[in-house]
Amino acid sequence: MRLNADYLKTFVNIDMAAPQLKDLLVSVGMEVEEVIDHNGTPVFEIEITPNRPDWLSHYGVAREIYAKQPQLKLAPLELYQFEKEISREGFSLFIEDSSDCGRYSSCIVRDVTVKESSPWLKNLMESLGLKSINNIVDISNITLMTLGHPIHIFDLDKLADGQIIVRRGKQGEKLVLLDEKIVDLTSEHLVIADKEKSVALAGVMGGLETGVAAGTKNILVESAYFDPVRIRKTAKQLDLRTDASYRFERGADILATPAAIKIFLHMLSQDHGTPLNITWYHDLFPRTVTPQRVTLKKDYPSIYTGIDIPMDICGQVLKHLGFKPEDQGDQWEVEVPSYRVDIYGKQDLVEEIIRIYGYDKMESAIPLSLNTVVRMDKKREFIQAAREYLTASGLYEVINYSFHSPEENQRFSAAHPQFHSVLELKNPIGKDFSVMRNSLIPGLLRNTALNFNQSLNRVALFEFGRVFGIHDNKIQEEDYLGISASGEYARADWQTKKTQPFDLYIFKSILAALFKKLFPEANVSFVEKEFPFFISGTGLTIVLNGVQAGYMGEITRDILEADKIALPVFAAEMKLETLLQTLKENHFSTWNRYPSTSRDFSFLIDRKIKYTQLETAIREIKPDTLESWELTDLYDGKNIPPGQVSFSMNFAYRGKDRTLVSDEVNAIHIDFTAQLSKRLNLTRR
Amino acid sequence: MINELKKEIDQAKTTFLKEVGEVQSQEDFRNIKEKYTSRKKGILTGFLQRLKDVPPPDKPTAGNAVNQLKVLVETGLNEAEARLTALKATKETHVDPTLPPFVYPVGRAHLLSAIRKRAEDIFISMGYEVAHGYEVELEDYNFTTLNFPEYHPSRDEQDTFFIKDFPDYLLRTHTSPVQIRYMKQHKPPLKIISPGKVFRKDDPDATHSPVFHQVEGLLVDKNIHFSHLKGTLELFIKAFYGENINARLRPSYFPFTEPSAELDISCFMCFGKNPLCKVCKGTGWIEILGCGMVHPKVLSNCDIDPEIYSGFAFGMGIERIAMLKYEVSDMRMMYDNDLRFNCQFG
Ligand SMILES: [Zn+2]
Repeated sequence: MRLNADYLKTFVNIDMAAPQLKDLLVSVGMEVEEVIDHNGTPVFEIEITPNRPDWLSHYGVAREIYAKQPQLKLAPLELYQFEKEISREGFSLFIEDSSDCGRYSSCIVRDVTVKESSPWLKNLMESLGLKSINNIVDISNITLMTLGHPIHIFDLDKLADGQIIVRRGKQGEKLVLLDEKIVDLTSEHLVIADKEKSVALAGVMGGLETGVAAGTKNILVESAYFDPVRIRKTAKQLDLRTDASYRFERGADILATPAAIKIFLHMLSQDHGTPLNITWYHDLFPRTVTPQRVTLKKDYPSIYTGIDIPMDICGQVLKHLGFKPEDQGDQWEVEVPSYRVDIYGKQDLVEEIIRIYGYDKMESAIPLSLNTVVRMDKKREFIQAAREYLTASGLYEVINYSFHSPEENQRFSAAHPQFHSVLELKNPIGKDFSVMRNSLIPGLLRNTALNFNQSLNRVALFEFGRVFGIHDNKIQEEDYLGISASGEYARADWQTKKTQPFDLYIFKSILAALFKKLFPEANVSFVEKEFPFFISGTGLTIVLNGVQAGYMGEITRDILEADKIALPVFAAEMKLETLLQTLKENHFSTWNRYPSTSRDFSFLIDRKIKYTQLETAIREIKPDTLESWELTDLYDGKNIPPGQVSFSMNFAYRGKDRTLVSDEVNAIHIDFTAQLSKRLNLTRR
Repeated sequence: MINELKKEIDQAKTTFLKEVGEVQSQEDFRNIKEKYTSRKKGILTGFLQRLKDVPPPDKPTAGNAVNQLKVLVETGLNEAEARLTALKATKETHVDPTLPPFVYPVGRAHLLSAIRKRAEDIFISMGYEVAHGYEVELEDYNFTTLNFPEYHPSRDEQDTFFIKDFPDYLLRTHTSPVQIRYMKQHKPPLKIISPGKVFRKDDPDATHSPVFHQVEGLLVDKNIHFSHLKGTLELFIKAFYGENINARLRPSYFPFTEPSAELDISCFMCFGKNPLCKVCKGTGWIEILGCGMVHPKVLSNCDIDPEIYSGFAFGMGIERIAMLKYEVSDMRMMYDNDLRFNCQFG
């Protein structure tokens, strides 16, 4: 809302330069966005929080300034004085439901002159960012800017048959609004109607047909109180937001309707320079209103703020703000003014008191409260440990939006068979962000594409985040860790002279080392499995202590082409909850003090036999003294018979309770490798 | 005669050891090798020839002595050669410790994770528990229980994403529902922070993002008052920004707190001394977080008696803190994940 400093000063005699006035407004809780110079007058653009509709006017702000500086004088509002009792005959008002419209004050003024606004009026309108239409419309707008209560002016001669009805819209009924928009009315909308048709959208916008125009002679002035919820529903449903609806939906002052009319009439008579010909006035007030009352213990403001605020100051502040505190010994019974729709309880009154007393008088104290149980956040600790390892391994952390496109979701739907369907947003910011992500990999791929486009050679990323889906008609969200790598693993340097790109084995090794770091005692295995988003034959399920925790593989060309990525990308995703369940305290274990002896074994093996099968066989037939083994070479080149591949392995033997002598080891090794060869049809080289 | 021969051999041994020890170059080496082992004129050959003249009973003794000299010469020459080879090797390898190091890849945590961790660490050190909740929340917990009336404009302040086919759910607009869930499950005293992702239906621009992060805090106990809030937040901002940073409170409005406040901190960039300061726009103060005393309705909605207990709550946007601290001009950079940005922090 805009606030003209000169106009403001007609209501409260504050003598202050713009910067000081700005500070004062801020100190009571208004947000001053901008101070504009309008032809030498400071104009404040202020943001008013939704609890303070009473501040949406110059007089409302003046009241607040007076409370802060009570040595000033708050001018009474200039209201038009009716010269005689005015007739209630000849025109009738009818409110269909008083819960929609609690009060409807109205009058008829005849023989008005519609003309261009005076320079003063035009200038004031312009300073407040409003477009000047004509004197009558402008004065109704200035009335709003003065008191904050919206009024509406009808061209009386365009209303049918001497009646105003406040009712709901009817199915099939249409209304052309002032902005020429045509509205299809429903029973959700509150309208002002004459006998034949609706003529205005109550509390939101008037109709085009019955509005004040160049030839208007006689006018009907409306100043009503409409239900905030009804106005909000009407405005929201029609996607309309006007100065009027903005105020009504925040809560107008039900006692202010006659004053609003009288301010309008006062300004209109000033504008015309003659007394007005008011032929009819009616204040229909079907709802009974009792003022809000709040009990406030006198020591409560000091207790609740933690600073000592003298009781007499508390009482004075309330009075200056328009409250009526009735002294009842150790407490006040405080009557709340009708324009303060935000005050219900004693805490509200404490805020009023310290707002005016000054937030700057607040002191600092440290509460000694402690939780009775200290719970460490295991997930947080795990994430931090994993983050430290991954960053130390040269991977960058990324954070992506939690939503992505339906296509991205589709590509990875096989990742989480537990999600039966997609969680969609009802009102997304765009189609590319219209579903909640079911996987972290699409985001990582998007980041990979962006960084390759920026000519980076190495893109190794990870993200901690949630994935979403629907399981048995219930929304599910799960924390995941996603990892991807593409491009250079190790770059050529003057010593190695060779660039090593990321490949499936390097990627798997990074994961294996992560598990070794975080789960020293866990049994980790990678089990072959096909995934539609991984190139066939590259997919692996990650199994920790027998539980599936995630998967890894090489992304298919199709998906990479969709993201315009030329290089192979390796990716993995793991469920944090499953990882956390595997995370156990590790235990000390003593080590074998006898020396270990190792022997090499090189052999040809059928290509179709996977390394895991070889390992399974080793485990099954291994002698007790075989402690560990390692693949030391893999040769697939010249001199290898077709259909075979050459492995070299190193087997380490160690006695449990004594040192094994060389001959013993030889015998064990020969026997073991012979059995292994027989079992898998290996050829010793 | 035998004695004389033995004496000469001993002398030759001594001379050889001295000479072989002085070998410095291939040339030295060739000379000494020639001198002792040349078939024609070598010293060893000389001694071997003289063996013929030794009387038979003394031959084994003399032969043994010559043989000892021969072994000594061979060993000595081998060692000298090895020493020369080693000397040569050292000289020919190029050693320059000022050569550039290899570029090992260094990863980094995301800026937002780093800021979040720092804020969490400060509150954890003050005895707060970290609590988590759902990103897809019940509308009831996100708004109604937090004293946002239905159809009230206060809901407009937080443009909300809704979920298709699940009318009761939305993407949480703040992490306050975590506090609601916690209060419903625990009895005071309670002291928690709830960090996490939140969502508001804003199109991304330099200062808006449909996804952002918050750290919110809550303390509920007997006799908690507004000064406790200020003192707690002052501890936090001094830990986070430095002990010379001050805080001030300004009145504000949040449906779930009463009284409500904004907390400004003194400008860590110019300390109010630069009228052209970009961080504080010359005001000397930076708006950093919203806070207040927990609204009695929120407490009673969570079955906590507001006549017995009171509490405070606060919340800050991590993106905003990060942007101010590092002068990041565009919020979208936080979500582009361009590694030229991500490599600068964390
Ligand atoms: Zn500054």
